[in-house]
Amino acid sequence: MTPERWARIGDIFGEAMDLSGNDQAEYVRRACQDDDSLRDEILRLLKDHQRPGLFVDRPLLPEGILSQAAESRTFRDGQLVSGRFRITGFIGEGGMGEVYSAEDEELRSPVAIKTLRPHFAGSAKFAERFRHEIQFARKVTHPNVCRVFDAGRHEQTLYFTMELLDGETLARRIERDGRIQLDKALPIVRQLCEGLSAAHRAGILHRDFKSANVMMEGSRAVITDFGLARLLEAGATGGASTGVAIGTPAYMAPEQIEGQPAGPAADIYALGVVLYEMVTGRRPHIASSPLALAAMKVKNPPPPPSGFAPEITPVWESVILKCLAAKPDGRFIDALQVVEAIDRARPLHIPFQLPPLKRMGIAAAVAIVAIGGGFGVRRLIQGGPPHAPTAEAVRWYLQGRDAMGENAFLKASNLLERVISLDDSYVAAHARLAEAYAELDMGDKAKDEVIHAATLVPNRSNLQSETALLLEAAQFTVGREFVKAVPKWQAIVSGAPASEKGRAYLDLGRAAEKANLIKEAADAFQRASAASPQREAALLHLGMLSARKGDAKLAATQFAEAEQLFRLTSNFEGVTEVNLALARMHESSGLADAETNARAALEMTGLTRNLQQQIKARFQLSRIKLLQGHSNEARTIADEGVGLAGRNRLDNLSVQGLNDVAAVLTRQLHWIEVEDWSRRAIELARRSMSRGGEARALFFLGNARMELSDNDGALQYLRQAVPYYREGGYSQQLQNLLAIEADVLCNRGRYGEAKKNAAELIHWAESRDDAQTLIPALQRAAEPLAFEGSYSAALGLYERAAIVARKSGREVGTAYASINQADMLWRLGRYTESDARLADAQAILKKLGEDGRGPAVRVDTIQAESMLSRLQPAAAKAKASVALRAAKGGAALRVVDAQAVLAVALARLGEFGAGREMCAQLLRTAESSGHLAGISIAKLAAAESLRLAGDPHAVTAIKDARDHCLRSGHRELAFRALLIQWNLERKTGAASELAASFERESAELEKLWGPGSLAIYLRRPDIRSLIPAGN
Amino acid sequence: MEQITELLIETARGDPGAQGKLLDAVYQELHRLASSYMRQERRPDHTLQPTALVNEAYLRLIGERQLTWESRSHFYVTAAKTMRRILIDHARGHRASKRSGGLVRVELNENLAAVETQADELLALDDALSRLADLSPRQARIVELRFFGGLTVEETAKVAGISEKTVKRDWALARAWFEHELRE
Repeated sequence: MTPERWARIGDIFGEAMDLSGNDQAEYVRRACQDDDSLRDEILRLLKDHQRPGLFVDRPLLPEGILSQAAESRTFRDGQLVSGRFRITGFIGEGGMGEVYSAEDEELRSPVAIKTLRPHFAGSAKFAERFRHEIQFARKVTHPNVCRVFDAGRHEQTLYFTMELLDGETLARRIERDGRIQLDKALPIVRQLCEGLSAAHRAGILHRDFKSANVMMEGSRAVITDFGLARLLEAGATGGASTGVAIGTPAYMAPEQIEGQPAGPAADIYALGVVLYEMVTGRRPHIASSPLALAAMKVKNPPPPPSGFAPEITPVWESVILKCLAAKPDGRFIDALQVVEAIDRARPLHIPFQLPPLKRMGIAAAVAIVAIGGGFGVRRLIQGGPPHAPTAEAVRWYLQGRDAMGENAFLKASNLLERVISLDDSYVAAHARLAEAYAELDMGDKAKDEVIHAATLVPNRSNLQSETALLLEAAQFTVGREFVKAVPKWQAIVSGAPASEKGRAYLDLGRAAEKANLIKEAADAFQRASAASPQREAALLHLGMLSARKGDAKLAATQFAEAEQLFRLTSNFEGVTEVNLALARMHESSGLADAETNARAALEMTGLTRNLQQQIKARFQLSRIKLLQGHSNEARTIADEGVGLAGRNRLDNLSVQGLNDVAAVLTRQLHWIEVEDWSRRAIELARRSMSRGGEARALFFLGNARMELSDNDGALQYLRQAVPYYREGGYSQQLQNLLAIEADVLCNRGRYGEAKKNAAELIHWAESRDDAQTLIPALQRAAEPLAFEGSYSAALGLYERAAIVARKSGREVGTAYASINQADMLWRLGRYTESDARLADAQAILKKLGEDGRGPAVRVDTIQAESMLSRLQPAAAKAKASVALRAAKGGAALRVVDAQAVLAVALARLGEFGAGREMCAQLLRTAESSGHLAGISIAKLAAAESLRLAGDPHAVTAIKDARDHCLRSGHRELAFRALLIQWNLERKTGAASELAASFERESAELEKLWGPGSLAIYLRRPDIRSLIPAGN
Repeated sequence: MEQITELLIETARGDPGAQGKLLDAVYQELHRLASSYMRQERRPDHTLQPTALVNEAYLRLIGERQLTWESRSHFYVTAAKTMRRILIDHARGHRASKRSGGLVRVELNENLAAVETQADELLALDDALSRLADLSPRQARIVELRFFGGLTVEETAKVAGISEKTVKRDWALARAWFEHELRE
């Protein structure tokens, strides 16, 4: 047999085998002509061909098995994948790979496992990319988006786990049941729009949206394979030259088919195709090849859907055709607008009572129109058509809202300003912008926004309830009535659909945080943190709350998780924000850590190119450098921040940064530096019209000027800041300001005004039941009384302060209150009680250690004064010397006190030279301090030491001192001056007149202090020693 | 592994020397897999299935890299040839062990029980297939793909690059011829 003969046999056999019986024999005979052996061979083969069940009919491998093996299942039923997922079934396969159902044995819950076709699996680099994409896809948590859980690898197979959905695809439903009635289609469309919009807001595009990627689980529509098209593309481009078309041509937007970068608009196009498919049962374009399809899509508008389904309304038709616009900018910008546009045509008639608006003099009950950007379901009342913001405006608005959630207020304000420029009638945007401005210390602009939002409403039609609540919340926020804003946010939370609850909780948490409702804030953030995408932002806030409460450990855990999540979603701005918060927290605990965090934040901004964060990070680092004692480096770093801000028109951030530096310097008591930095802040604030920033800087400057003994200057600066804080309702800031002002007024001897400030402070603290502010308020109220000599009244206030401090567990406060009581008590001659109070204070201070050093100086001074009063000059001298050393560099009055005791003690000890020297110092200190009571004390002490030294100038000196005390209203000091003068002039003609003054003034003191108190006072050894014998 | 992939691609390009090397590589790989399966804990669902064997071999061979349909075809061809070699080796081993009482050389176990009972026919078929290859390499390839590789008519046509009608005719002729040859 030769191959040629075999080929001939084959040809004839092949033709004959399909013939039957006689035809077959006849054909073979004719074909073989006269070659009988050929004919017999073929006929024999044909005979064998007829026989069934030959050996070769039972191939050792079942038919098709090799190709099945090559093409199909990665996993078998019952197989345990990655030691965790038990395969329970094969669901099907699609363009990407296979889908299995499995049981997550770790979490005991069903999941779906989707494998990637091996040819997508590619390199290790691709596997990394795969994990990254899966983590990215995890960002979206929305009931209408299939949840993606984890990425994994089983040997060579990459897979990921996702929510197991029980149902059929929308494509199959349409294929089986045909087109869907409009009223049945709408709920599906709504879900698709909400899912798409949520994903877009998270920054994820679908890029292969189609009805086959929508699972219908009963009435719930779930979009699957979000963000995975990108992955396939990566797999394709990473492989060989064979191009893999990404997306499904019938659903692809023209620009996508042409290979141009596709944005959200491409998904909107695909949504349009799906909508078309749903309501007509067919796709808008049908062509033989993708290229032809692309050309068709660009050239020919799709046939109107109503041509295929007459019941389609003009609204549905126009909405679908708008989705299918050939050019991306002709389509809707946000998927939510699609369903809103359909909804708008079928208003729900829900009566809605507008609550009266009366914030900050805004006309009451301003009518507001409905605006968009709400929760998808538009609630309308009867009336004219509501204002609908443009698509682009909605898009920026949603981004601005998210930025606020991440504390990126400047970014938020920029985004929202853009919204307003696009659509000035967007009330919700005005409301949010007002909130952002308020956060940025731009109170005036914030106020303008709410007023504008409230007045731009043309008629008293109606308003979407969320928008009304937003506006009211903003009004309260701008009016600094944070506590009242909280219920508005609560209402927004309760009105929010499930998919928006998380974000709404985040808003509520921020509002509660501002209102100082820490528990409520923590609760809201906890709820917001229950699910991404706002989980990261919520954790960031929780960390900040924990840091604020001093729980650094918990804060660190929360920050760490927030950072991890931000990293997972590649949100490096979020990572930066966490590092900034950490740096701030570490400012008080560990400067090395703080510096690490600040530098990490700064480095990160090089990556993200977020200028605002870069400036913030620079100022943060500057503050840390300052705290480390590197003031030059701090200045250089801050200067870079100022320069960067200036070049980018972000002076506002410089003002904040400079003020923050001034705050650090204030804590460090570096007054000259505070003045320097706050003046720079004032200049920039004035230039950038930031009245809030200016007010804050004026506060720091005023405080510094006071500490630098320029009380008049201080008063001038502080009073410039008062109107802003008072009118703006910045009560906390106003209280701080009034407190400092009270101190300045006290220094200047303007006791009446100081008492008025103190009364306001007490009232405010009492209304808030806030011990932390009530204690200093009570002490500030007592101080002018003490200077005036109303020791009993002052004592009463100090006693109250002590009770409040003890009750609220404030040890430093308790110590100070005890010390001040002791101060009043010795002056009244009640030494035993005074010593007891000092002992109480010392016991506390011992426990406090380092924190007790400040109050300890006061104890020494008071002990010295008390000893001198008891005529124990040696002990007084020793104590006063200690006190003086400690007081140097601190408040001028403390130095004056110590020097005054020393001067008199030295004179009593006969050390007249040193005493005289001390008197000179004392008078200089007092004069330069500008402290009126200090001057009285100094003059009195100097005159007394002259008297003790027998100096002839003593009379002149004491007359001057007495005059000063009387003019200043220092009644007890004046009384003592009287006694000294009386003692000096007891043998002169003035004696009787002085005796009369003594009678009169002592009666006044008895009246001032209460019955019986004068007798005790007069028993003070130093007082008794001055009264001439026989009186 | 890298080598096998390279070989697959070279074979697809038509490098004549590559195919023999590929066959050896695939053979070794399948055996390695088979024995590693054997070593695994014996569970009811863990028995050696030709499907699992070939599936895994396939994934290991071409999973690393995107391959064209061409190279995939070559995989089928190669896998079919490899299966032929494994099965024939097994049949030879079985016959040898029956004669000598020695050990089965290739431990493919119970799944190849069919091979053992038909060892003689299988070896005869293998001989006949070699003779057929002299007469018509195309028909021999089709038999290899269909009988040893378990490919369907449709798949065979695709892999061999001929029409289904030709596959059917060639297969029918070869089948009839084998019947005669095996009876002889």
